[in-house]
Amino acid sequence: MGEEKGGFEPKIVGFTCNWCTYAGADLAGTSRKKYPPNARLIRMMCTARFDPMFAFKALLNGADGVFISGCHPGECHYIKGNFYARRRIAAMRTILKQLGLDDRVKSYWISASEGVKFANTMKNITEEIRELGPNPMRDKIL
Amino acid sequence: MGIAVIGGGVAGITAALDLADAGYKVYLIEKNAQLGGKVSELAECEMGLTSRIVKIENHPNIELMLSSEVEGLSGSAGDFKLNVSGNEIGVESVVLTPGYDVYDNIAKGYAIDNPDVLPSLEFEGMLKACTKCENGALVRPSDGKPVKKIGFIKCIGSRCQDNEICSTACCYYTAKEAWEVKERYPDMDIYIFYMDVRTFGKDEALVSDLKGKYGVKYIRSRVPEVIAEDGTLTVKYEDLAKGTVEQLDLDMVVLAVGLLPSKTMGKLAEITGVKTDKYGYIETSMTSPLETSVSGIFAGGVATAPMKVRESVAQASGAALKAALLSGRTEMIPGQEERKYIEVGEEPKIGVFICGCNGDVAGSMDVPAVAEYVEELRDVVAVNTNTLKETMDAIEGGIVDQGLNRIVVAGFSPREYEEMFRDACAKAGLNPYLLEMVNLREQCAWVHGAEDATKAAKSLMTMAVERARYLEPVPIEQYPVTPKALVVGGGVAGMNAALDIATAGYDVYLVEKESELGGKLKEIPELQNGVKGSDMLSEFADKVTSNDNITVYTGAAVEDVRGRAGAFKAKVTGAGVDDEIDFGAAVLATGAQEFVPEGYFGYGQAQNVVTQFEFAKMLPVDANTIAMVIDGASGDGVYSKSNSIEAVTNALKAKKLKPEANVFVLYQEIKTYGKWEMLYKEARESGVIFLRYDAEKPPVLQDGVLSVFDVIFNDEVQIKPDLMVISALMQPAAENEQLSKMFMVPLKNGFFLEEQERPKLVLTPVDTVNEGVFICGSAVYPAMIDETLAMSSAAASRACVLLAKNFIETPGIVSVVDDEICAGCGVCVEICPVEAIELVDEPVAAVTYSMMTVISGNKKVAMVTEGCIGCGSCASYCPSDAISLQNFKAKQLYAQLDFA
Repeated sequence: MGEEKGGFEPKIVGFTCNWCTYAGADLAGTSRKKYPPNARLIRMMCTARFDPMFAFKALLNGADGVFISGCHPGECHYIKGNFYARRRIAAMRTILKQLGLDDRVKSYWISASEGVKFANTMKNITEEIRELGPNPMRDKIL
Repeated sequence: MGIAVIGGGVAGITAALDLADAGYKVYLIEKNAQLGGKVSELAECEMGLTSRIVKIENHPNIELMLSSEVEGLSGSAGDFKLNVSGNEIGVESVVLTPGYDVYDNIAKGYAIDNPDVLPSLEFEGMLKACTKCENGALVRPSDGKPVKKIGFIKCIGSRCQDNEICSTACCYYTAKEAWEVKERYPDMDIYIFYMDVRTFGKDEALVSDLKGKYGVKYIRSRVPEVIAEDGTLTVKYEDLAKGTVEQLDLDMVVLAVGLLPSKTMGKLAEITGVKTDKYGYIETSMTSPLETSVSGIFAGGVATAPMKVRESVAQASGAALKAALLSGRTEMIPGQEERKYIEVGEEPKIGVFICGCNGDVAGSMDVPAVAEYVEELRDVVAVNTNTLKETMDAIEGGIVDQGLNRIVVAGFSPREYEEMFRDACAKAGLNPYLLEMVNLREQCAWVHGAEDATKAAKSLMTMAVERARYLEPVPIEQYPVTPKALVVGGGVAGMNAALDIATAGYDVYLVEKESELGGKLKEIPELQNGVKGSDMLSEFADKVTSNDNITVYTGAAVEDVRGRAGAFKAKVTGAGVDDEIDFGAAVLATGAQEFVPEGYFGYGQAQNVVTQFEFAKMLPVDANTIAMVIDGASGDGVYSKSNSIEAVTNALKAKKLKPEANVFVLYQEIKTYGKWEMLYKEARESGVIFLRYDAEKPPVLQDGVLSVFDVIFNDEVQIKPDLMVISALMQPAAENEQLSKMFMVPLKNGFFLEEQERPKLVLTPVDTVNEGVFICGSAVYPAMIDETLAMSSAAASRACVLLAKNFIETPGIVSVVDDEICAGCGVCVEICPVEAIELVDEPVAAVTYSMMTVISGNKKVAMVTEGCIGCGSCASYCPSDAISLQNFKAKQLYAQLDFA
């Protein structure tokens, strides 16, 4: 890699639900809120579709950070899909901790009207992951 | 023949689409060269309006007449002849949606010539165009310096001498603009000068958020002038608490300018013969808010009274249905033709279509570089860069002529355009789920710098192309639509919706929980326009009971709802009733009920404390001193939009009936919106005394003396009322909780929530997240009777659009089970949020040993029912990957992920 810690551009993969966070990201766009271009979003109808394997795969692929973001509690388009996601993320963390990758996986609630929150979240996660440095898996796998 | 819609703003667009989608021929006449009207000038118009305009431009049932004006109208309902810029068209009915113009006689005193003083619409344009400002900063047009302090002045050109009525929309749009500014520029100091804050429901929550967590300063003062000197704008205002005149220097001032009837309205009224009121708005009545004075001509939107977008589109939808009832369906409904999808081979042939979005994308990134990059990607056989309209045609051509079997469209957000492009694929014979969209505009071009955006775009394109390689055709079946509707609630909203749907020719089941129809209307002695509540009730109830298409169930409830849009099933149970019903659409119109303000001002104990509802029934009364408190009662529930209006009506009536009586109205905000402002004026002129108090110092009743700190006199006032009248809050119907679960419609504070696909611009006020289920009336928010009627006609209109279809295609994004792998563990059954998965027995293949056949019995397998809503919970929880969500299969997501 050869990139200096703090000077590299982290690669981030985000899993968002169609109804809240993806819409929030759209609103950030219509409000022309600028944010760093490090995150790639994968749209799913509901974060309930999120499978912890997706996060592991992303990390194994060399992503430096992963996030999952859905509707606020109680506002899920599918009633309780975001709670399922939360439950699975919590379970996933026990393994991530063992692997030392826990800090690299974040989860948020961002609604369709929170364009600014989405943009700020992208700024923050980019900085946080930049601070952590490149994903150690990168060198091992690739 | 057909229907003419005159005016192509948001109301006209809504009316035209409702009609055309239901199979009517529509002539949409707009005087400007493009559609969209005033809403297209709003900061958030990209959300929702543009895709509707594109839909209209491509709609086979709509004849779009731009830059055209109506020059003559003859004939009568059922047979009108219109002269539109020299062309004659024949129609059965007409919908008038000419919209509004803004007040333009702004007093010189507001320094309107100063470039830093902007009318609200211009300010919206500025917010919209802020990409052009350096770093997205809000700068002063005069000197380019960043704006740090901004003031909004409300009621400019409304509630004033030459436009006496209230413009209704400004309180909300000012709040929305302030919110927008604060969200983008959190350090901005914002001041809002106002007379009353006339917002309701969710909008009220926005205002309290602004005052609270956003720190926006709301200052109650009518600002007489803005002084522009040496690059500073100075606003003088009266500080009511201190009784002093204060002065504030601002960098920018936004004038919340009032609305006036469209300048074309006068001529249009002359041509069509519709009556206008003294303000120039089309005259309608409380009990028939969509009908004009000319039979066969209907009206909607701001042409009838100033109102917000939400109410405008509801009226327009309702007016469209009323017009449709006089016309006949002559056209095919798009998507109702038999569709055969081409066989898609294993080998992906991907066509990529990049849309520059009129410079929105092309202006912020290097599109040719992206296109060149995409050409090299696996399985990409064609790359096009086009405009939106060209793209639509190019997709069809690509599929038919080039044999493309996977389509990637890059440009707009899929949330807005996916449906349209899916449809374009389907038209050309390609399974609509072989489409993948890349969000190059909202999530790339608009949020990153040019270099970053180009780089990110390449990566997004790779992800999409890789995902597209694994897309599979999704089996689509057509199922017939049951041409019947269920209406829950037999109040005025429910009866009106039922009548409208029944008149359109569909069977309706009307289910009312009480033993007779009428709901809240039974409690209203007289409407503001003098119509007796009982007269209106018997008129509606008679029409309902005598209509052959309507089956009325009273004392009954709906249970056990199953199925999906177009083909629902439910049970109706009650005294002696246990029916199974089929219906294609449902309208929830459960209304609201008055909260019993037990204990407030001694209500319930003292004989002389009553609610406004009770007071209306008591009139005339013998009391010498009547005190009303508008916002005083707390408790559970929400304030009705009719709250202030009812109080002012009753106060005025009491005063007129007994002029020597003292009538006091204690209030925080008088919300007599629109033309009701005149009622408020009349009440003040007739001697009703209005006393304003602050929320921190609410009025107190002790030993028969009502003390209130009046903020205008800046002193305590004591009243000894013979009769206290309090406004009770409204509560949602008790059954909403259950109906919400049955019909999958979320609640907010107990009231049904409309579809929230867009955060701010509500263009579908009666649709819900559950397709086929519509909401209206006080079940959504308690409102005046005219609004309730318009809204229920809108719900009927939306329902009829669905019922007009012969069949609906099954949704593609649903879960499917691989029976071979499924072990029948039942995890998915537990997980499914809508109970749409069942375990069923499946015989296990028989094994034959020479002369003997052994059948090892049944195994349990999961079966997805038609209730599936496609969340994918089951797919991610299944331990053996036997269940998967179509279009979001693991391999499709991994393909995308691997190139992220």
